Amino acid sequence: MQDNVIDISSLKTFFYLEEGVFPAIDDISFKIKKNKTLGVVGESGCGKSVTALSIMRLIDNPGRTVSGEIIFKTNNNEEIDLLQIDPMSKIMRSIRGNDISMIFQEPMTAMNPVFTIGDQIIEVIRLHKRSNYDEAKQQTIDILKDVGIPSPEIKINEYPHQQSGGIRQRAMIAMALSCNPLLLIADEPTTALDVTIQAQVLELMKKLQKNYNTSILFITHDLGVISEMCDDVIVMYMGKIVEQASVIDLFNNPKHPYTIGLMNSIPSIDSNNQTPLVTIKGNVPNPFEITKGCRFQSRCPNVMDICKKEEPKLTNVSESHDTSCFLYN
Amino acid sequence: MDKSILLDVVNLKKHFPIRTGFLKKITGHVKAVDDVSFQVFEGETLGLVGESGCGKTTTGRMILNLINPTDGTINFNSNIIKTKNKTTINILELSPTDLKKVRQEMQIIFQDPYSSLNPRMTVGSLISEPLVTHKKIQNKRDLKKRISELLNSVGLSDSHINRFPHEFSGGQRQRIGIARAIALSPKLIVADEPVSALDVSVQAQVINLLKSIQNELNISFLFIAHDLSVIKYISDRIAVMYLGKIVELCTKDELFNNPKHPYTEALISSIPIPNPKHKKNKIILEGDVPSPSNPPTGCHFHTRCKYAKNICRESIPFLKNINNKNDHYVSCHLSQDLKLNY
Repeated sequence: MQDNVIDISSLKTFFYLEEGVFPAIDDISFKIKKNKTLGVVGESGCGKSVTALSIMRLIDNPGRTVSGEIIFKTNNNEEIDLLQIDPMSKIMRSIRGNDISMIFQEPMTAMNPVFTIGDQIIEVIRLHKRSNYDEAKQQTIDILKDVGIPSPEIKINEYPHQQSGGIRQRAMIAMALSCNPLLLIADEPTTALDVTIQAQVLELMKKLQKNYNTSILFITHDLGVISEMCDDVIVMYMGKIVEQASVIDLFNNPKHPYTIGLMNSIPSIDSNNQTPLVTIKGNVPNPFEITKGCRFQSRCPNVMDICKKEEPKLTNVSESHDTSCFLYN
Repeated sequence: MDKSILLDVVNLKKHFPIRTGFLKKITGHVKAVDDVSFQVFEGETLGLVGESGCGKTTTGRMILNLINPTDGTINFNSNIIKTKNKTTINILELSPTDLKKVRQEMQIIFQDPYSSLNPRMTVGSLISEPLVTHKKIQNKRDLKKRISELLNSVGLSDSHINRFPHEFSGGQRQRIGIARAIALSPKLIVADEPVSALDVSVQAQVINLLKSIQNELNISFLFIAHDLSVIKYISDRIAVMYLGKIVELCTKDELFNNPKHPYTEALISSIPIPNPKHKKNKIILEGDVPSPSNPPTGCHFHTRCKYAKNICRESIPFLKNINNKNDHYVSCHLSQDLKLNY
């Protein structure tokens, strides 16, 4: 058995809206290995971010995590089920930001505009590590240096709006890593950045993962970023995991028609192929009108009779490669 | 050149004034677009790529004269308005009535399909508006026929005519925007990041649609995007912009196989490739894009360029041709000596 940082089983998070119940995540299970990066990929609305927020216990009304288990292994090898803890309780607050921390997509809205960058990071360190102000300040300067921010002694007295997008995202990463978390959840950390800046930030995250021994849950819609950053990948569609594999298996041998469709949809930078792109027909269906059977049936090129009657389960196709499709049952 | 020139942009500039203080005194300029020249041939797609704030969108909007340029000329080969002895007209010298006529031949597709469609108009009235404004079709029955033709050509159906934009998904809305742009059978469409707001599976559908429309109607595209893989797929030639200037302009094969500007090299190498076995030497640029209100002296890129020499800090390089086919332009002092490896 390999060491897992977090072990999630049959997690369900539903949103109770006027229009009906919206199953944002519907019965998903996965594990994140120690010091590895797990990528979550899918289109908007498939439940990627809700997965992250469910782990952080930040789901607010009208959403609710209905059932499941999130077993988190702490530093002293204690296993706790995060779902058994009250999200507002002291224990959860001591885990959040300390053992599990998060990087958000848009650093401008995730940081407080009326506090300096230094104050915001110092606050995190003082809260969780109970160090005095001067120690915390020194640690902040060190970590800002680690994430490659030039002249951190000056930067800690500046405000988020004075920084460029790349620097802001670095400060965000510094804040997330300030307490040496066991698990870092990165929710589309580079989507708002330009390619050259994205390359800088990805490189930095890889380096820091080694130095800080952190596991990462990396959420993105960009398959290119997934292939560069991750060890294992989960593909999500409409609140379900449709495929789960190591990064090499997934890209060399995608199984689920949705994964195959996604890969064909990206124009390849290497080929000079001028044939039309192979697309997935149609749109993501309305989540309130989920019909019986497989959720991908209306867009699937290989749809069969059974797909309309039963819901496929995640089954093993080869070692460490699962997919939920009747083609492989 | 055997192809005829549809659009010829010469020394186009746009400097936005920065005003400060109580009297709103002009204290500086943001050089959003600074001396840009390029041509678009008939039936081709010119890709315009660059990072945010490099002046891509401003360039696109100036071509339709939606933003008034500070300086420069935009020559367009119009079928509607002709001047004596010349095949092209300068759009910036046209009277407002003439400009309105010429705009039948140039259309724009916007990035955000949510804010570019009036939420109070039905799809039918959105698409018929250009036809009505330019008095193309008088008869109601013909108008309806044309609308359903247009809807079908972008993959929507007649039943959508009386619906409102909010009833559609992002991809469908972008299709409505495309139908509206091709309603007048224009010669040039400025596509300003038409697929960046869409999910990958829908993005591919829209890219295919744009390509097939181009083949059918022989429209030229100025395709603005920041995604190099999309640009490569759709364009014939590509212009790379950095801080308001074009740094490289050539055919797409030449750009990807034989980039001559260090910025292009870095840009190509920083695209994440969806193939975990693909190992390459990434060139990671240091630092950020400098502010366009206070660009560096000399070559704008020298602050981040690892090959920079003294000459780069002192004098501004100009876009010049470097091959014998006269189709590869680079603005770099060192382009002859550099061995860029990609």
